[in-house]
Amino acid sequence: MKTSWNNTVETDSYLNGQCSGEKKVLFEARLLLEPDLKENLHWQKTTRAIVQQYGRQQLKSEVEQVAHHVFTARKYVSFKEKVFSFFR
Amino acid sequence: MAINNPTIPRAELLEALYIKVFPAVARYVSKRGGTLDEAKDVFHDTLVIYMEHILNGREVPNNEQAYIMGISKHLWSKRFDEVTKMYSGDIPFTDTDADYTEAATPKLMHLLSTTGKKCMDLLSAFYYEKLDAERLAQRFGFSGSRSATVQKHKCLEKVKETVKQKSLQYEDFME
Repeated sequence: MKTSWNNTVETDSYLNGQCSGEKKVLFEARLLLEPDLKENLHWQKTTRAIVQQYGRQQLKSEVEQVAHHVFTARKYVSFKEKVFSFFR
Repeated sequence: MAINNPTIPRAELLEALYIKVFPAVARYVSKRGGTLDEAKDVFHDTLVIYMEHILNGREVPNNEQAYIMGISKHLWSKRFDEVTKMYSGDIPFTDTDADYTEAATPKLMHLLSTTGKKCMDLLSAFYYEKLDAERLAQRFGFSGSRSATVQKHKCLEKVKETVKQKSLQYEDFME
C-alpha cells in the first residue's frame, strides 16, 4: 500500500516536471527496472488526460449555462435584440 | 475585468466576455452567411480556447476583445474552409471530430463524473485550472495546503484505480 502511495506521489512529481537532475535520472532508471512503476506511469498519464478532458467538459457546460443566462435574463434584453437583429 | 483574477468567479468572467464580445462575433458570422447557432458554436469554442490560454499561463492580452475576435475569425474560416472542401469534393464528407480520440469513453466519463465527482473536481482544479495547493485548500475547505496536497494524491490514487479497472473491463467488452 505504501509502495503504491509512494509511486503515485513520485510519478506525479515526475509528470509535473518537478524532478530535476539526479532525481529524474533515478526515476527513469527505475522505470526500466520496475515494470509496476512503468505500468503506474501509464495509468497516471491516462488519468491526467481524462481529468483534462473532464475539466474542458466542465468549462464547456459552464459556457453553455452563461449563454442561456445572457439570452434569457431581463437585464440583457437589449443585448439579445442587438444580436438577433444581425440574423433577420 | 482580468480573466486570471482568482477572486472573480469564472462564470462572471465568462458572462462579461459574452456581453462584450459576442455581438461582434455574431455580426461577423452573419455577414458571411452563418446562422446564430453557428455563431454561438464558434464563440463557445473561442471562449474555451481563450480560457485555456490563460490557464496555461499566457498573459491576458492588452486588447482582449480584439484577441478573442481573432480566435473566432480563425475558427470561422477553418469551419468555412472545411465546408467548402467538403462540397468541392476535396475531402470526404465525414465528421471532422472523428479523428480526435478522447482519453475516456463516454461510459467511463459518466461514471467518474457521477460517483467520483468530488475527486474529479479537485483533480481538475489542480491539473486543468492549475490552482496551487493553497488555492485548492481555500476552494475545497481544507485546513491548509499540506492537507490539500494529501487529498489530491488520495484522489489521484482512487481515480487512477477506477480508470485502470474500468478501462480493462470495457476492453473485455470490446473483444
